[in-house]
Amino acid sequence: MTSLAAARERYVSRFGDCEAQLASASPGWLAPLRRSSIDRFAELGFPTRKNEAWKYTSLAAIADADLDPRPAPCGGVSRADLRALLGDDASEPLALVFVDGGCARELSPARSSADGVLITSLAGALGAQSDQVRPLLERADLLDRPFNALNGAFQRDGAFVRVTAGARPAEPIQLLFVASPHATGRVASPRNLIRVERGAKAAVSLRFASLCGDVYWTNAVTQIALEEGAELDLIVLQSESDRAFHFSLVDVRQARDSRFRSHQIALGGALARGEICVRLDAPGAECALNGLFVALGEQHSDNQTTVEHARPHGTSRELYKGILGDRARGVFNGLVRVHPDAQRTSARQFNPNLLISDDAQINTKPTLEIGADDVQCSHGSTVGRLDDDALFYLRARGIDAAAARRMLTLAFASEIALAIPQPVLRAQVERQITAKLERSPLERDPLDRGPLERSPRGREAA
Amino acid sequence: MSERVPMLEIRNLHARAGGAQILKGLDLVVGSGEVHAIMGPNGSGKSTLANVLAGRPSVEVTEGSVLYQGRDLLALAPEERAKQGLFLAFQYPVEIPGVSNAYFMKAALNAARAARGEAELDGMDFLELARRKMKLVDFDEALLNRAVNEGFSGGEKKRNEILQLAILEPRLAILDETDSGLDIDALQVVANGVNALRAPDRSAIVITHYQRLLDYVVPDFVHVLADGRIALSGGRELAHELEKKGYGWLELEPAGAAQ
Repeated sequence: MTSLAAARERYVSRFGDCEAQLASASPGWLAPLRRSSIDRFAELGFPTRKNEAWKYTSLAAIADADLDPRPAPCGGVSRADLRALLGDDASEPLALVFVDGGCARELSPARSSADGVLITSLAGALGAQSDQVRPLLERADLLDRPFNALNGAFQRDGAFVRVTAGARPAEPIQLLFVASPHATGRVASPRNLIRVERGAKAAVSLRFASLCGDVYWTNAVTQIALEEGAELDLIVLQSESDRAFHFSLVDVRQARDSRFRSHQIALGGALARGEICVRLDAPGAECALNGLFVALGEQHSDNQTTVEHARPHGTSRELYKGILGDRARGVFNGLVRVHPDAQRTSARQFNPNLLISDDAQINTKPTLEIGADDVQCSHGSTVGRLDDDALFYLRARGIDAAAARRMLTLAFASEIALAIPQPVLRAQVERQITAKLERSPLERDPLDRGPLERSPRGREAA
Repeated sequence: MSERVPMLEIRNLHARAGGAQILKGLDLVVGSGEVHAIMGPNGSGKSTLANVLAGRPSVEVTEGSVLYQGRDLLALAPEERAKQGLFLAFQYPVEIPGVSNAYFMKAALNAARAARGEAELDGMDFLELARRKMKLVDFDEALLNRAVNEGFSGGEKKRNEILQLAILEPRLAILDETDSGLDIDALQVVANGVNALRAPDRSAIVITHYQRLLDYVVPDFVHVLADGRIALSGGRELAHELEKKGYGWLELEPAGAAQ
């Protein structure tokens, strides 16, 4: 048996170990859903690289790591730990804190719903608000991706956020997912549901951070529904440990004239796969997907985006930037699909990448599938290096080579950070990006190459 | 170090760029407090000389030496040269999206100050200094908050170079055709920037195609560069002569070229 097949068996058997325990902790309707989820996972298994969606990402490491998906007691993280982890951001109010996949009530201050926002743990909402969460959890199409199915089997908690009709909370809703020092060898399967009702407007941040320097796996699924005229900024800041596995799916359904903007910042993980699927399900919906992934050392960062233009007059804008250094590997796979009746669609997609070492690599595949004839669509990607002329210009003004390289790399990243409208979230993201790039070992200086070896200019390379 | 050590001493300089031998035995001595103009036809090596002095990695020195204030300039990285007071005003200033002009100039100034053992300036102090200098070079403050040179007009880019010159106050300023493409007002600004720095302990090399700038920045010496060497040197009157007669009368063909 291959290691991928063995791993599938292991996860299925682990489910059997804890099925009764899971069932006892949740309402009856959830048990068959978990069962169908694990059955679906058993069918799909761990994808091999023959699967187009996994062509450039090997799951061997995650299959070989003997990880335990069964729910673990969550705890072992104090407020002091959080303060140390979050540094300058520690004073920001957190709506909910999850530790190893479970809601840590002692770290989650109670929040009033006076501003039209209801935030509870999913575990709590399963019983009390099952009419609201059940239709979302029962979405069968989500099970077509193996790790969503796996999440469906093992999920037991997450955030349920409801921004009620017309509500416009002034402050962003910040959710924190922490891997505790006891996360070693475990899988956390958080499941988040976010509903922004008619005419409401909000910002939600999902931040993944780690107090565990060892191997663990976060396998998160976040479902978002935007009702008519609703507006949401979603900020995902992923700073898992560099030994962790991190999979995250964000699934978005947009109703008429709704506006969705996502800002996905992927910095951590030995192997990280961030996936976002947006379906413009009604006329006049707009989405903007911004992303930045930075991979250094031996990191592997896989970024998948899908925009389904299902109805007419939809607009999508997508800008994903990649920075790859050392021996890191990056993947960008972006699909924009315009359905036959989605006339007057406007879609743009662009994935520029910056390679800051000779051994880093990016595989990028922006794809358009157009089934309608009256549309405006464009897509593209570039791979470039730091501009030698710009580096020389900075150095000729007395700025050290290493500092100049960092300045230009940060400048490349800054466009994505600056697009975040909420100042506190933008500042968090900027600090994390800066910290990440300052840790990076700056390799040999390409400026010291001979005259005939000049690398292509970043903006021109195609 | 005695007072007689020149600011710059170039001996038998040979350099290659773009696969071709451009400088072929150039000698030039610039004393403290002097302004030297370097003129010459296109392709004679003027910009290559400027780039060698600033340390552009794509230009390869194959022979010769350059002493800057008595030290081996060619052994220094570009940033070290800058920190020791050498400044090149670029012929083609580079656009750097995402880096603000103010941030860039503050970093440059603080690098130089740190090298001189002076305290770094904070944002407020820097802004005060920058405002003073902006007046001197008639610089639009809005450009300070934009990305470095991004979307600047040709004239704005050149003014930006001169603003940096004014802020950094180098010991040796090298202007690489800073005057080309400028109207008379902008030319005046460039001249003001250079003239404000004239002092017994500072020098400048003004590389230009035209005599025009030299009406405002009056040089102590004028050199004609041809085929990678100084072909002729003289006083300021040489610039006028060149303006009238062009370069043809000098018979600058490489007489003994290796062919």
